[in-house]
Amino acid sequence: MTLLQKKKTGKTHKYNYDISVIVPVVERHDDLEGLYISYADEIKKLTDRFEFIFVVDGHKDKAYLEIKRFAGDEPKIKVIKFQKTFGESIAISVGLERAQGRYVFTLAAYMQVEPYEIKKLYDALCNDECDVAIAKRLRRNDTPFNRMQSAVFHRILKLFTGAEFGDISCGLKGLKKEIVEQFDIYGDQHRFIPILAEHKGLRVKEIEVEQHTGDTKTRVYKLRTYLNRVIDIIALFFLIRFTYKPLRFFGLVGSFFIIAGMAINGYLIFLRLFTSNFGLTDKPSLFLSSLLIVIGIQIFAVGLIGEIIIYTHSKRAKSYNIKEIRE
Amino acid sequence: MSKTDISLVVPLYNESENIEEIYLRIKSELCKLSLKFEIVFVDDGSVDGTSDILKEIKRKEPNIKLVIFDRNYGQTEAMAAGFEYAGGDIIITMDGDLQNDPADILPVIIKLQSGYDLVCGWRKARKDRFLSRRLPSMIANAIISFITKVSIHDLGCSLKGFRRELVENIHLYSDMHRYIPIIASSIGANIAEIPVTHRARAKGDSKYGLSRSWKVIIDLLKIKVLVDFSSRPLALFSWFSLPFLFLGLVFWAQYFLSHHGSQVLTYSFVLQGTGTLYLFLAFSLLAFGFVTQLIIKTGDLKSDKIINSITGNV
Repeated sequence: MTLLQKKKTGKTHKYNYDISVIVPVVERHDDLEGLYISYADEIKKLTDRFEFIFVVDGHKDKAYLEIKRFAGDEPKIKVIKFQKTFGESIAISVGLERAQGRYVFTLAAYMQVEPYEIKKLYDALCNDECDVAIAKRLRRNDTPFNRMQSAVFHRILKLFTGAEFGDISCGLKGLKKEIVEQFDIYGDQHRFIPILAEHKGLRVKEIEVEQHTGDTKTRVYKLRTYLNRVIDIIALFFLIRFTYKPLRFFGLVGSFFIIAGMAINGYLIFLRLFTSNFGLTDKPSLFLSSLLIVIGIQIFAVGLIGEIIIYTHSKRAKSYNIKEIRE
Repeated sequence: MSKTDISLVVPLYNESENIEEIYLRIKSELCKLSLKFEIVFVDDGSVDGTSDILKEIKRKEPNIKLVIFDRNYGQTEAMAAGFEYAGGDIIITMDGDLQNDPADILPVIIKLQSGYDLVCGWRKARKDRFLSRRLPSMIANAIISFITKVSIHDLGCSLKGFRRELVENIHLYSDMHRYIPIIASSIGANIAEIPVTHRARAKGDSKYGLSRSWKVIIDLLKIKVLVDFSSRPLALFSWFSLPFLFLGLVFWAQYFLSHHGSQVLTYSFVLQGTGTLYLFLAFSLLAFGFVTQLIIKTGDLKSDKIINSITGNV
């Protein structure tokens, strides 16, 4: 959800294509030509008006040359190359911005899903069954380790956001271009497009697809990647629950610290005042309880800052979505 | 299209049983006046077919506006949307569950026309259970009016009348609708209160109960801070840091005093440490104030503009 949402423009778009496919080439990628050919073959069965947008991150110079080579003069292939390394989320949001199709699909840069499965998502979008269609890989042949780490990730996700999805990290997602402008993607949040969409009241549908055989190798990521995932979930949790009321969260947490500190402090002061021979100088718990108070007040102050920022920007904040207006 | 005089904003959530009646009663009240009116129904994501009934009424009656949410957001958002689409010079909000009596709309309009910017309903004789609803609400209202110095008896009453200029300067989000009179008073509005009748809910369930008390306390604190300090956060944090600056100095003073003479304290760390902690807190609060001051410079609430636009129209 964007805090400061741009006002929706009421103009009707003219779409140059039916389908735009965005392929972020950021980290892992395989034979891109093969990927393009096999998906393009399937898409041709659906429509002839489609485009492929490869967004190549800064450090992927080889991949860039390869795409240039097989793209040749093919007008359906568009390549965007970053000067620097910006990461997958930026790649996807740049792709979404440039896409001119009525329906926009994102695709992993390696074979994740059997290409013919894209039809299922396309149909769901065309028949207006949903605004966002996400693929859920049937992990029939996947390794136990892959299944396990996916299950753990989605369990944590559900715990924090309440969103029940089975395979949110699958690269294949389809969405209507008209809703793209409602998103502001940052951090690693491209992964959470379905959750953000659902939070905005859009209809999200999970569609089961066949996993590509090449995708069933055990994947172990760097520790950094796992940590980033957890941080993203926490960021999302705040975004959804407390964007407009930071003090509800920070105030509560801060209060706990303050109350705990006050209680210990109060007890010490009580003893100092009402019992003889009780000095505070040799009581380290005075220091501890003061520390608790200090921490609590700091947390509380952060919440207050949040509230002040939102209040002073509230003219532009719009926290609801209208489905229909009749005047 | 000629200008609308009065807009009635009615948020609805699962009120399919009540709409017909509420609409007819509002209409019969407003027809007594020779003013041009409209009713803005905001359907807050009802799932009981409220919006279908609304569309049905809309087909027959042109002076209705419908705003239909894609899901349930809450009363604040419903009111904010209603305000955005209301075109009248006077905007009146009321509950969609017939707890307010449409007969009270006329007195509100009359009061507004006598020169007030905001007229709040006051349910003098509430028909709710005393212990579970009326008492907590009385206590809350008393505390709120004591702390904010805005003396309103009944913040929770939905029946309120607004002058258009005021509505344009209030931006609602996250449960703020309860504190509208306080925000209004902070930007210089003239507020009046009139007693209104209150009826127990006839049909349907009550949806907007009293939230847990800590939320109310936190919200109250937030409103107080926003109203008094949102334009000058540095002042807030400076005041906030003073007692800790003092505390820190006291501890350090105590440390130096205890060291008088050649006496050595085994635990002098406690005094030094605690003193340093509080000094640190004082300075970091000051730093927070500076940062916030910088941030709000990019915000778009300019308080002086608001005051001018309201007083200029009274």
